[in-house]
Amino acid sequence: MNNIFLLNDYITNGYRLEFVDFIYIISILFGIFTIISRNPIVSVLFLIGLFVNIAGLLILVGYDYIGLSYILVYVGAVSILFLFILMLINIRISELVSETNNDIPLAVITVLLFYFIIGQVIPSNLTDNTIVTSLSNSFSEVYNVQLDNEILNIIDLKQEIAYASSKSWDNSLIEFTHITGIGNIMYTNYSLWLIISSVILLVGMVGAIVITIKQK
Amino acid sequence: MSNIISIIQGLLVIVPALISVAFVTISERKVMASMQRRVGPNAVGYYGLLQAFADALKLLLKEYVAPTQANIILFFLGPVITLIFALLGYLVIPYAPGTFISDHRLGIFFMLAVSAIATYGILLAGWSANSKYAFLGSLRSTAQLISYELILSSVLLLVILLTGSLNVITIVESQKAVSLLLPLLPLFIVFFIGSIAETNRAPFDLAEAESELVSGFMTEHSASIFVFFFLAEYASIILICILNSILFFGGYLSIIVFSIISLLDLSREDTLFHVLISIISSSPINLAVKTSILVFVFIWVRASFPRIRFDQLMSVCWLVLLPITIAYVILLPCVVSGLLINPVNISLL
Amino acid sequence: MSTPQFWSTPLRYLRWASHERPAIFYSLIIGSMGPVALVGLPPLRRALGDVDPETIPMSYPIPAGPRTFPKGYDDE
Repeated sequence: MNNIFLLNDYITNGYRLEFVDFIYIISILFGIFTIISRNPIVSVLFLIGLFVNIAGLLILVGYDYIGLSYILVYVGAVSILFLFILMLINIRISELVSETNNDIPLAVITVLLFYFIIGQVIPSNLTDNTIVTSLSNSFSEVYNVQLDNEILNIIDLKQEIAYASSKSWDNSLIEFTHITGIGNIMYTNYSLWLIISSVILLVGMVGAIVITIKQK
Repeated sequence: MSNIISIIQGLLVIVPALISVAFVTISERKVMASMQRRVGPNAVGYYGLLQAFADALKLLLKEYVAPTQANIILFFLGPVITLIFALLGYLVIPYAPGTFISDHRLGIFFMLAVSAIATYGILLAGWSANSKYAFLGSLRSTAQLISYELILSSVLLLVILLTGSLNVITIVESQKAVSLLLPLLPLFIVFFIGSIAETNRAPFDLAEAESELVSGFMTEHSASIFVFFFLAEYASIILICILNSILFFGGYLSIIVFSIISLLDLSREDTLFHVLISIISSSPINLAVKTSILVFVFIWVRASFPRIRFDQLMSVCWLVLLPITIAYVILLPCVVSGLLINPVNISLL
Repeated sequence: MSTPQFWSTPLRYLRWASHERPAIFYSLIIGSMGPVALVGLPPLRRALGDVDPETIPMSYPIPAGPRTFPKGYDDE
């Protein structure tokens, strides 16, 4: 009996569903702290913590090659240069204090709108394997029932997307280190997430340009 | 039950590693003393063998002082990160056939990633101490580590090319016929110089150049957190010597190929001679001897060469070692594919 | 003697470079030996008696001759 548990531990690498939720929560907290901390070095440190966290998640799930290369590339190369440059710049923290409280309602409204629109389109059963996502999906489904029948004929669209993003991909992964399999899944079944993350990245880029541009 | 077993396994590796760290410090002091015609530590224990434990006890009993304006959390987190990630590298090392904690298929990659994180400990400790000396020391050390990690990983790339695997045990076992020192001798020299620089040892110990920067990034650290830095430094020296002997000297395999001798006289099968040869040809003592010789060379280098300037350090890395490494990165794959000697990955058979 | 130029006196420049910039000079030589080895080694290998291995089949072999398609059912 003991051997069976050992085998289970060996196959799953100690993976449990609760650990994934734990890592999700910690990474969300780190992401928030990255934005709200005044000291830029502390902010970058939280960013590094976020990277390590996500690498831990990937290793836990079984993509250890991608997780380790995440640490090697993002933590070992990219953010250490970030930190290096930030430490060499002489920043007074008192200069960084600015009034940003006005923007909070705008941010909240934007996020709600984004999630509302996205929630209409994305099928709710895409990632129903964690507590956090099932909670958030339980909210979104209430909206769906009301909206699907009334305004738009979204059901057809949702079915098409649900077919495209179904879990029929699991036989294309022979081994977790096969990057071709992961890329295949990412560009076919999970292309929705790729598009959403690219939209978020675009917003980030535009935001950085807007902040740094000189207003005449 | 399995948790208890894995905890015991971890202790069985970490405790000897820390004890060997203690003895490496003594051997360094004794060897450097005899190279400088001194006696060295000889009071505690026989021939001063217990000197390191006395030192550790003294440091642990001291009062620790944190600077007033220091970032206290990062000040204590830095040494802890350095020590933990220096010790995590021992996880994937095979000490003998079948004697390892983790036979991870990406073992070498894991060691690289862990050593990448260990750099942060130095950076954080130096920044958080709120002292100019510590800060400059940590910046120097980090610049040095990032630069020399490039060389180490490029050389590793070629070792992986010739062995066809990222698994440490596969790398060791594929050197059964001949150790990789023979095809990669110039790269071994490059790798060894890089590993001296990677561990912040003399003549590359610019991070703690005491004539300029008191004692570098650990100027403000005292007592038990200083012990953390001390242990991490010597643990990473031993680790990188083990890595050197695994990559270029065949790890736990003996450097003389005993299997050829046993092939010569097939008539005597199960004699004591054959049993002895099979024990000698792959035993942890081989790894220990190779690693000890390399550690001795580290100490020898420290006693022999004067410290170089920081701009010399950087130009040696980027203008001398890196071009040679890149030249070999171009040459060796061409030779391998020209002679059709692509390595066969044992783990896929 | 000024620093020699490569285009006017190539040999003298090479000699100067091998003395003054040995690391970069010899690493350029070692690196450029790579493509030479890629071109030059296979004929040498064949001249020494090594035979090229068969190419790995990427598809199933097509059988020669006409194919017979089964008709009806076996259990009828």
